[in-house]
Amino acid sequence: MISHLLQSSSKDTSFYLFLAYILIGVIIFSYILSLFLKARDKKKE
Amino acid sequence: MNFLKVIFFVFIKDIKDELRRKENILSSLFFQLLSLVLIHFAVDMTSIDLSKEGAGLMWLIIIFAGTIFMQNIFRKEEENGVFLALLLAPVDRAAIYLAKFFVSFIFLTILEVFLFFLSFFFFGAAVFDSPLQLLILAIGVNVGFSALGTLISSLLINQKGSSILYPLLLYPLLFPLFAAAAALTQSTLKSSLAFSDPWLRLIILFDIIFLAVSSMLFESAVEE
Amino acid sequence: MILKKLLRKWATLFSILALFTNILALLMVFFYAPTEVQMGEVQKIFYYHVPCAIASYFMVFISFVFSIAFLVKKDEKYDIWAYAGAEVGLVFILCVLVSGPIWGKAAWGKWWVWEPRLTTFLIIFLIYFSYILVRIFGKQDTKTLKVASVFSIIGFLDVPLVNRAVYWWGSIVHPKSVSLEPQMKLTFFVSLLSVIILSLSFLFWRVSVDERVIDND
Repeated sequence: MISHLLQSSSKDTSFYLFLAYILIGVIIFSYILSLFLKARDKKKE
Repeated sequence: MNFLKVIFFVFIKDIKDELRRKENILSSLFFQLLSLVLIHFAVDMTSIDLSKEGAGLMWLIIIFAGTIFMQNIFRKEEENGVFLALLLAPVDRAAIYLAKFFVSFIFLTILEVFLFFLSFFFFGAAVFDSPLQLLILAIGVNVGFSALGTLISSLLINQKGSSILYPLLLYPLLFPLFAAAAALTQSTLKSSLAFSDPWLRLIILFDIIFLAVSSMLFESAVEE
Repeated sequence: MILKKLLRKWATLFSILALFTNILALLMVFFYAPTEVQMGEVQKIFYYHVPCAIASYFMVFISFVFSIAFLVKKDEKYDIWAYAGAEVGLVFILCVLVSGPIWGKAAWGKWWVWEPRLTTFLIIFLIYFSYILVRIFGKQDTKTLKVASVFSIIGFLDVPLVNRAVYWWGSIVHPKSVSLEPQMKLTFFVSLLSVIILSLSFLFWRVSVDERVIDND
């Protein structure tokens, strides 16, 4: 069952795969950063 | 006072007011003429084909013109504080909402008839091929359009930046309605309007949901 | 008001859980899940693309429920949750909108195709972006809270209609959900779980850093 799935694909698309995960990571981490900044601002007040 | 009486009373008062002040209806009518002229020069169009992109173009103008009209539908109450008095009166708030809804509805229909006539006159659009069906379609769209338009307008009374926020809030919500309207206008010219058409059902569903929900939400939206 | 200490506890718990499950999910995506034969490596975007979509629906649903609660009970604490739900939802909508076109580029050679599900998300993005705009314009007065909660309710009800309209409009067919191998299924469920936990931890943190939550320690 698995063997046919493991055949190499006709074109290399791993660049797009990494691009997508990096961009998702950037969005997630910038949101975490914004939450930290908000928490810090609040503490200052 | 009886629910229907309130609707009728506020409705008549508002229609009279709009007709006396004229600024709202005249500016939206003028806007439609202006957009048609602009379209002619922007895309070098000499005829509007309602069975193709022309249908979408018509509805686009109607969205903008309707926005100009409905954005100001609570303006006079806002200016002279009548709105507060209206809310203090011992009447059902849903009745006030429905009255305003009917006013928007009537004027939107006038705008559309005017626009169809103009597009026939300037661009030879085939609006008179099936005028009755087009009118039914327009009425269906107007229910949903004015239900949401009136609600959002009431939300933004005395709100900072309301003139910018109004279209930004309204347009994303209206998307399904106008997709349906454009699609139906195109198909109406080829075949007749059938109830089994999923687009028509979408419009009816949109109308029912948002008219009901809006008249429920209006009360909590306006109370201070 | 909301008990901040309890909230922080939950937020910390969920963050730790989210960290571990996400590391596990990423390891599984890149090293455990087999490569799909037709689309190749890029199909692995699926393991975060779809869970992000589910998480964003979940978050805007939370915003919808708490908006109703706010309008009925008129208690500001519900509004804090409604705001947080919409904001966190928007973050995941953004993830969907970023990963979708990349997949499209690899599969169809174009960044943006007007494909039903992706277009639905674009419109949902527009709806919730204007929700955030209302908040930014109006700051914290009670009027703004009402506008936002009414808008959240209507916006949520609009989503299924948008979805139907986009489906009938678009003629391009979304990649049919490929029959998943057991290993793929397992990877998908782990990543779905990890993204849901992540969204919940975001929700709790977002509520706890809201200006209206009073420090009581």
